[in-house]
Amino acid sequence: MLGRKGVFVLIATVMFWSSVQCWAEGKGKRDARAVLQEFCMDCHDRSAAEGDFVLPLEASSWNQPDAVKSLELVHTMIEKKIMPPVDMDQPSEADRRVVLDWLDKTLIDNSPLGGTPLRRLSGREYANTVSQIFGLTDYSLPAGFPPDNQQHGFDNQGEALVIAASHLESMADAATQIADQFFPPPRKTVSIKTFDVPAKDLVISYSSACLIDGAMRLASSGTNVNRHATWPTKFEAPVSGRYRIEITASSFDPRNASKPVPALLVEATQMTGDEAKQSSLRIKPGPKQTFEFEIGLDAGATIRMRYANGPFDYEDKAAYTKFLETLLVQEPEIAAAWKKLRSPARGGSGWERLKEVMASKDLDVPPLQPGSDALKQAVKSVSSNAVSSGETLVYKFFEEGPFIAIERLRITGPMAQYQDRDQQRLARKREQFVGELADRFDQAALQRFLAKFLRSTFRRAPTQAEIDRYTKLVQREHQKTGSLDDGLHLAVRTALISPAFLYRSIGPGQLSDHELASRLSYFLTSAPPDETLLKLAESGRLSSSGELEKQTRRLLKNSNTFAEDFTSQWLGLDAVDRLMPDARLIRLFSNDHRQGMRKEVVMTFQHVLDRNQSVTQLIAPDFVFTNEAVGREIYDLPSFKATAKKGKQKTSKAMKQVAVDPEGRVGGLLSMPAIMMATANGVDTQPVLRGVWLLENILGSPPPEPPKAVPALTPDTAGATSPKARLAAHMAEPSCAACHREIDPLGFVLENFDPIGRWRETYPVYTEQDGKSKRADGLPIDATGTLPSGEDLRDVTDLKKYLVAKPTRFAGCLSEKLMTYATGRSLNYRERQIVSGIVVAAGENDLKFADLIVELVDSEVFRTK
Amino acid sequence: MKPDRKNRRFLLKSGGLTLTLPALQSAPSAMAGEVGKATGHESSEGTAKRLICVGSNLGLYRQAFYPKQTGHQYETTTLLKPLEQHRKDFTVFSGFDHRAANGHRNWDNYLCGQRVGDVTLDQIAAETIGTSTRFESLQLCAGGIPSIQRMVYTRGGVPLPMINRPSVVYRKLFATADDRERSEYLLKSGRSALDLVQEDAKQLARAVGKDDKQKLSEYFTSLRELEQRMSRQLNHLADETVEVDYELPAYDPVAPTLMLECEQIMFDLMALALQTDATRVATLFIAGLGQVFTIDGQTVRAGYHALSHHGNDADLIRDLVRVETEHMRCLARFISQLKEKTDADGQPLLDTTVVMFGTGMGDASRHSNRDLPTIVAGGGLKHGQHLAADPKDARGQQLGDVFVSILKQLGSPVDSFSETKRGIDAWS
Repeated sequence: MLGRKGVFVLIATVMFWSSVQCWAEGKGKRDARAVLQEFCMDCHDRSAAEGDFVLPLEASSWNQPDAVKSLELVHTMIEKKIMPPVDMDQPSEADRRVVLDWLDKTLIDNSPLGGTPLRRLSGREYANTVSQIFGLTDYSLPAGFPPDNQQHGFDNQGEALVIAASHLESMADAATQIADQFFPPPRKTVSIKTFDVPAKDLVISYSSACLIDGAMRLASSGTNVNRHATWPTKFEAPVSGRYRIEITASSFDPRNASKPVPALLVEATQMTGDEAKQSSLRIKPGPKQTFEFEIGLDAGATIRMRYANGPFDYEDKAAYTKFLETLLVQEPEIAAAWKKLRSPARGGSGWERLKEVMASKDLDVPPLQPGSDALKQAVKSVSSNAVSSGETLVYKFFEEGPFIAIERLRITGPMAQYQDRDQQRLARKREQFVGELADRFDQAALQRFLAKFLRSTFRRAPTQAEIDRYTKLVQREHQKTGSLDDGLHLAVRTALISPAFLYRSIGPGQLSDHELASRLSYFLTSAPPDETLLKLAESGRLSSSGELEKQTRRLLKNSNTFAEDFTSQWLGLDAVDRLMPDARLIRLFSNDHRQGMRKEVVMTFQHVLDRNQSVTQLIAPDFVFTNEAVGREIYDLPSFKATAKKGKQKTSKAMKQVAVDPEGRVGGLLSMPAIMMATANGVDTQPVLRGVWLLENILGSPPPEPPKAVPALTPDTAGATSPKARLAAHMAEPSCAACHREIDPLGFVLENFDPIGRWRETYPVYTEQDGKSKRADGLPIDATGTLPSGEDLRDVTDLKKYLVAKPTRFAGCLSEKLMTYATGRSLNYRERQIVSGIVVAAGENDLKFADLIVELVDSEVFRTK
Repeated sequence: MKPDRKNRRFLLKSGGLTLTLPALQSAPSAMAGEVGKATGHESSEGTAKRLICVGSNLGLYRQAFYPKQTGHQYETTTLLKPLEQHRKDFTVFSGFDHRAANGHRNWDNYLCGQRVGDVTLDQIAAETIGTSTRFESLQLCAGGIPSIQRMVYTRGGVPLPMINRPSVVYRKLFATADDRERSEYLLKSGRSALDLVQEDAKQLARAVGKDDKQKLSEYFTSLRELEQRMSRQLNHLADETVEVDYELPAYDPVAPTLMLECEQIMFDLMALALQTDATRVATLFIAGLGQVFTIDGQTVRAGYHALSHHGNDADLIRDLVRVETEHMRCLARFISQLKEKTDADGQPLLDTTVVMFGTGMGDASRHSNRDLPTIVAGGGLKHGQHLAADPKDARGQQLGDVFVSILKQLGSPVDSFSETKRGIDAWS
């Protein structure tokens, strides 16, 4: 650290030296540092350090990492004209150019290539790695495994992937669980027991069931087990095994005693094994019947029961509507009472209230004709909140039928036979893992086993010293406990917390063949190198350009993890799973919507990649992938309207490719509902967020971090002031304007998309009436905007056109994101210039996506630690 | 320095249950010199040494909870009635919150303050009071573990997992002989694993450049800390023979319908954990799904979650308050237990234990996280009042001020929370 005196001397030196330079160069071209001195140092010398920023002008420091970072920031600020602030003296264009040229040269001369820190496996990579090494195909991280920090939107950045004692502890616990799968601790023998379950010991979750006359009645059907199933509250299988089930039940149907025969579906709550774990019982109306059968249950599982063909399912919108149309024609008093109460309370109390009103003599009950508007109205008012009305109406069926009544259960087990089979299965698993060690145990066999195991764990051949260490560990434990399995169990636990397993990106400078194999493999498959890559690395052939290209293309072809993992992080799509849109926007936002939205992004990306099409196809394709829920309710595509008219009952979950106009507003990243949703908050849109998102993820020109002191402005769209007027406040404040000049006009271009990605022409205005909210059209959307480079845009289609016309802009941004994700570091100035060079060259070749990735992988940036 | 615990077992009964356990240390050894002088009911700053935070997912129906009057002379309310016997030992807070943004994930603000992911109150406290016990802190949950809400975050922003099976908590606290043998084996053999990977790391250190030395030292540090944690647990396993006679039901009450039963047991287990000094910091999350409860033999006519979206319907509110009354009964019984159970000095545990019951949900019917109903008991604080704040007043008192006072009472050096540092005057 410099003392106060030192700082003074330094500044004085710099000032003196700068003026000498200035003088030496005469009146012609000015020296860059003289310009910086004149316009910047009043605020950014060491003594003022405005905004905590000191501009490093001393040549001695330019190769220091901190100074390089500072100069990069200076470059951004001057290029974007954020600095000097508008209310200060401004340098001429020529002066700016001089400074930028100088910064360009200084940065390229002083930025080293590479520099990814030692990189710990992220949780996602850890799970995939374990799954591959041990062949545990459905392995997932144990609950409570610490989540990773994100940086630049990615979960795999070396700097952010810290390790603390609690990480290591979780990893040690996870490792023990993995080792237990191959070398399980001795199991206690469990004697066969009988569990009697009276009806009152069955679960009532939401309004799924009702205890009447000592039996548990079920009346609704549907797949959501929390709303339609019941299960024992006090029984869980103590160990995995087969259990004998006895169920005593009856059914009742007031209308038709023969069909359909009520079916009680009985199933295991955890369906992990390979055995059939369910049974469907036909419960004929009439007296109690007892059924006996066996079922496989994993430890901790229980059985749950559902009425598979019950009278109604309020979670299937089409089916519920149809059901209500019949019900309300037959029993118009329900509709009348519903209308009178407006909306009865949810659940049994609501049903009691309805019954009271229906019983009163002065209730006016107009008949409802099939197909009439009155019926439609009545159905609509009951079904508008399907879950709430369903939970109320189900009580009618609990009382009147059809219902299934479960009287009691008896569960006996575990049956011995299954236990034996389970033991055999575990023994086979162990045998496969230990290989020849199963039959013969000697030092050489143990060494061979460990060499093989450590090679897959460390992603390289282990050194002899490593093999010896682990051999000794196993032998010592074997001697201590008398069990070889204890030694092998310990070796697995040890290797999985070794830094050789947990870290990659090892060794300075150019990556070794092994490190290259890991980088390539985790980049494109999120998993460790496979046998082919390991062999190539061992023979030193992987690093040749030809082989690297071949392997890149091979991995791209075999994996869809890349499209899924990369797009999810690049575009921040996790938000789609987290957000629950405001019910005023969409009444029933279902899993189909979420799935359809997310799959669209992945499938589009994969489609362009598989066919090696131009990356501009991601912006303006002539197709969209979508499912029925999104196609009809979000995109409002004509082809889905047709299917709706045919009166199909179930919405199809399948994704379909639908042709669209590439110059229209539908199609491509800039109109995808997943992205529109992820860049809003589920309630309203924030042009600032979307503007930043565009700059950061599409245009590759991220604004610098916002100053800490300023609170975010959230536009209030309900009042008279338009969001644009609101955001104009940003422009009035010079310190805001510097950045928001770029951000806001871009953000507005996406304003036509509401928070779930539907097209809109006006802002909604909501009013509350009788406790229900009504939507009306408010101010019209003004989606005009301006690009940082000055082009005016009318709406999103203009932005698409611009990006297609200037394809290297988007391709450059995408390439930087790819490289950040691949290398686990943010690229420095020089590396960005290299990537930009690759993109320009690829522009000659139509920016074909797969080819571009091959070139990026073959670059020094990718090949350097 | 260890007190002679092995031979000093005694038997005590609690609610018909008996347990044998070692004597408590009278004060955390690390702090014994400075703040080990608990002196009964007088408010004596910095004397509390335990913290329990309970969080209800759906909050409490405020109209049935808040007294109309402030100060000492308030008239009790429906929800406070079960706690009436402890009136002098708790403070009711109305209008306190964190001024945090509203949103779907913002229940977590309860113990985090303004920003979800900031270190939670209990974890700050654990840095001071949790260092000498077997477990720094415990995270429990009654009902299904939620997929969205998290109650506890570490300094690193890592949400800690919760346990919702009483049998698992019980085994963790009072391992049976079989389990203990296995844990002991894993801990002991685990030490040789740590020794070996240290060699692996040294080998790696020779291969990496200067820049990565720093990154690798993170690993070495973690290794050392993990080793300490493991020895701590091993020591406790070896020299404490805790035999608790608390009888758990034969099944784990994890079925949604049995949540209230689970809640009761979790409270009991927390009391036992404090009494045996297994930990001094614990949190309990009370889930809020669609469970249909049976209370006093009567089945409620709608699920808990549906009740919370009452839309001001009188029937739903009546049933909602019945469920919430059960929470208050559990709390009252817990406070009673902490009065009966004593530390090694014969002082009631409650005198040195701060118990907070609160929520991140002010109004579940509207998903609002403003104005969070909160109650704080015990810990040697001056109780007996209803304190009100104005949630609309930007500069008014905040929940963070309550937390600041709690931290002070626990002897924590941290003197601010979520940008507030005023504390509660009525307590000082």
